[in-house]
Amino acid sequence: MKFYRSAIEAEGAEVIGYDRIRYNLAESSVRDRSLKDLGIELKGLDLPYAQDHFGLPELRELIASQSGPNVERDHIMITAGASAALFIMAITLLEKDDHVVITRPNYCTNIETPEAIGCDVSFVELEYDRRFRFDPDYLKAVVTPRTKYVSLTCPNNPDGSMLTLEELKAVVRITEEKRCRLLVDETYREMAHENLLPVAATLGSHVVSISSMSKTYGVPGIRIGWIHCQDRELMESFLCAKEQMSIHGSILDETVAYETLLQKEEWLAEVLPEILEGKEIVRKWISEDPHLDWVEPDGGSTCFVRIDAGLEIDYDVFYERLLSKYGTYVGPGHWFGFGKNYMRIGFAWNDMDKLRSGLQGISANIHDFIDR
Amino acid sequence: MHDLDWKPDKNLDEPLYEQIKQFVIRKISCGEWFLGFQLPPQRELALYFGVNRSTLKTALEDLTADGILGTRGKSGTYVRNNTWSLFRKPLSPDWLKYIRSGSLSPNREITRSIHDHEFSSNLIRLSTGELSPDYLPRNSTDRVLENLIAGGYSLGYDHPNGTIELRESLVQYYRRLGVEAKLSQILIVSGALQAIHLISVGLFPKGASVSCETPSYLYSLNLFKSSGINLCGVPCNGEGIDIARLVNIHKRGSTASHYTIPYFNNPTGHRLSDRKRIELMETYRKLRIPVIEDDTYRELYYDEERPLPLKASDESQFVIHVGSISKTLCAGLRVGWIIGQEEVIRKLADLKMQIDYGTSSLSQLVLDSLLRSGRFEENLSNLRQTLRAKRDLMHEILEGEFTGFAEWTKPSGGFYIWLRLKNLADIKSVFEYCRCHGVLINPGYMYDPKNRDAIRLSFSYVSDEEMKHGLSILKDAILSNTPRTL
Repeated sequence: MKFYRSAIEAEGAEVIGYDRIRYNLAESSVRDRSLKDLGIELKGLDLPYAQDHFGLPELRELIASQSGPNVERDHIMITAGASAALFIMAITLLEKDDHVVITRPNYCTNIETPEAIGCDVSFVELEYDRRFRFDPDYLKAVVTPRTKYVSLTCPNNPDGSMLTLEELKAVVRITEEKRCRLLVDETYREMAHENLLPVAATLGSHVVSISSMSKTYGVPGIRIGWIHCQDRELMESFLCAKEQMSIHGSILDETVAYETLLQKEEWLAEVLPEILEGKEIVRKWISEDPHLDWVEPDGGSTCFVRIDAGLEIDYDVFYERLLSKYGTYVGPGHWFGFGKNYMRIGFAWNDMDKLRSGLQGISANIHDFIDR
Repeated sequence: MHDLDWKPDKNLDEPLYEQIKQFVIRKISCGEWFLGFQLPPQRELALYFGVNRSTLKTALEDLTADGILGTRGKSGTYVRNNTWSLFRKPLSPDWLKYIRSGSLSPNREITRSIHDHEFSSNLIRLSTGELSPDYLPRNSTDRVLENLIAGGYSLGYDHPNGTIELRESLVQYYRRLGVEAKLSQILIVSGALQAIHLISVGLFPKGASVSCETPSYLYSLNLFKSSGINLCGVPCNGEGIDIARLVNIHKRGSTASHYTIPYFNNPTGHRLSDRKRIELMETYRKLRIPVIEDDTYRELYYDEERPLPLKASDESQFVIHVGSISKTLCAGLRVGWIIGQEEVIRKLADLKMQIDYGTSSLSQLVLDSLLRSGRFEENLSNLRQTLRAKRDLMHEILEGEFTGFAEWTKPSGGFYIWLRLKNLADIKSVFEYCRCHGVLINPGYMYDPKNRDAIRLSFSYVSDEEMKHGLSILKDAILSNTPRTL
């Protein structure tokens, strides 16, 4: 078994060089915030070893209370971002040759860790032309008695497609009937554009929800995510994994996360309109450029855009020139296992003028190729 | 001149270039191709192996990318590294097993029991390997955080290896200790435990052995044992590790690495002497033993000059150095680091990205500010004074109360006194007696499964009063569980 560096890391902004990027449309989060923006005070922190390795009790309590009725503090474990949560889930439940069902495209850790463990992975391919949707009944055919869990991300990365409430309930029901667990990566859940879904873990004790502060709250520099699950025994196993990886998380981060989530309502009221405004700007841009189409996202801060495959474009040159001539940086399709004429565009990280300029750069770059 | 009667086997599933890579690694690891050894010209090698040059080139390029081989213009390819890089094999499929709850080791029970009890507020914790909350740098962190808030620091993602600022500060810090490290040779991690975790997962093949002192902190962890990595204990005498035994173990060839806490060891408090240090470094170098240096306690010296890490005399890059602030500043920031060869650091950084996408940049920023402002050093210097007094008090009490039925060496630094009992019947009963009387101790078998006569005492956490009271209960526990009248 071998870990490969994923393209999304190898070609990440740190590698490309931030100084070359004027319009960064590759980010999948909302704009970054500072401690000052958060308006919080951090005084009298002792920072000893944590007493509770599950995570700061106040923070877990707060997340529980914000996750729905009847959610208890003990259903929540704090992790170093959603990535550590996904990693913990995989190593706790999976062994070599175990079967796991994963929707694709998906966040790389969701796919790579089970593969690295040597699992037998069945993919549910979400297709652009089917608007990244899938029929929950399809799971009945793929899930076998060996299946340890079904893994999906909702809203999905990179396309922002979401299950409907009925579909989510159907997935929960089918996995329960099949006696396998369900993992829902809900990192973007609170960025639903219209219909906010319930936390999936509240719908069944076989469901594990994973979430994070990194995307919706503009604070990815504090590494805070969490696992939500009603199954106490499983939570104990998760804790064992966490303790052996790093004992517990940064107490400073957990304190900042707590303060940030105290202002959750105000922040969402501020940032959700910005997300929708960004989406409108992309919609307008798509409608004005005949070489482009997209699958309109239902949630999240990114969308997946397609350039007409009929155009004769050398995409390696295209992306290099997009950066060097137009200062625009996007997530090319191959980061997500798609052709390079697809790209992920983040529409909530920049201010709106920068977003517009970046999008215009993409169009201008396409036209450079057509005109030649 | 070159004894190359080996040829890759075309009937195997393994690609030819992969077989050639493994052959080269074998040559290097057995010492036949030594550091700086000049490989035969490519054309010649291709002829020896009976492969075409592009196959050979792929193998050599891979090994060069791994940092094992280097090129010197026209003069060709040479052996650039003969220690850590050799382990950069594909990871074994079972590498994650160590962490499963299903593979908990027997020690887990006692560790867990101690952990559960540690947070009962009225227990006296002679067991705890952490700083008393009274010594934590609350005022300094308050000031730093105040500045950070005012400075409008953005909470965005940062560099996978850790923030450039903190790594720069560490470069400066280590320069004063005689360690020259580049930014790319440093990886910031979430505490020393994560460092050990990444190294064991990322660098060792399954079934590898790692040698360590007995007793050792490693025995109290599940990490190595349940990952299928065998711990190979080397006994210690009054002067530290028995070098002849260490040499024997490593000469057998199956031992991948040596783990050590050279200064103020956990659990023994032992400090590596300068004479022994030279002898050990020479041994590591001669036998090409890759060393994991756990440097967690070195800054806590009470009686002499600041000791230098092993990494300071590591020209051949066989030491991976692990640092942490958990014992010298505060544990709640969860910051530690690894310093090693660039290729090794890159590999560990990739693994870390996959696992948790980097250590808190806020925690890193706080530590960086403390280092740059001199508050870190200031705090350390106060801490040394405080802990020296604690150490003296514990030693004094032991001299007054425990002489005759226990032995110990007064440590010159760190947190711990390793108390060895004479004529002890049952250490578990001592533990239970203490626990029932509100005192926690760590029995020696947590650090050496065969040990039946030692206790690790920590003077870093308890107040003076608690120490006096706790030790008097321990004395009762020992005397009531010792078969003969003393």
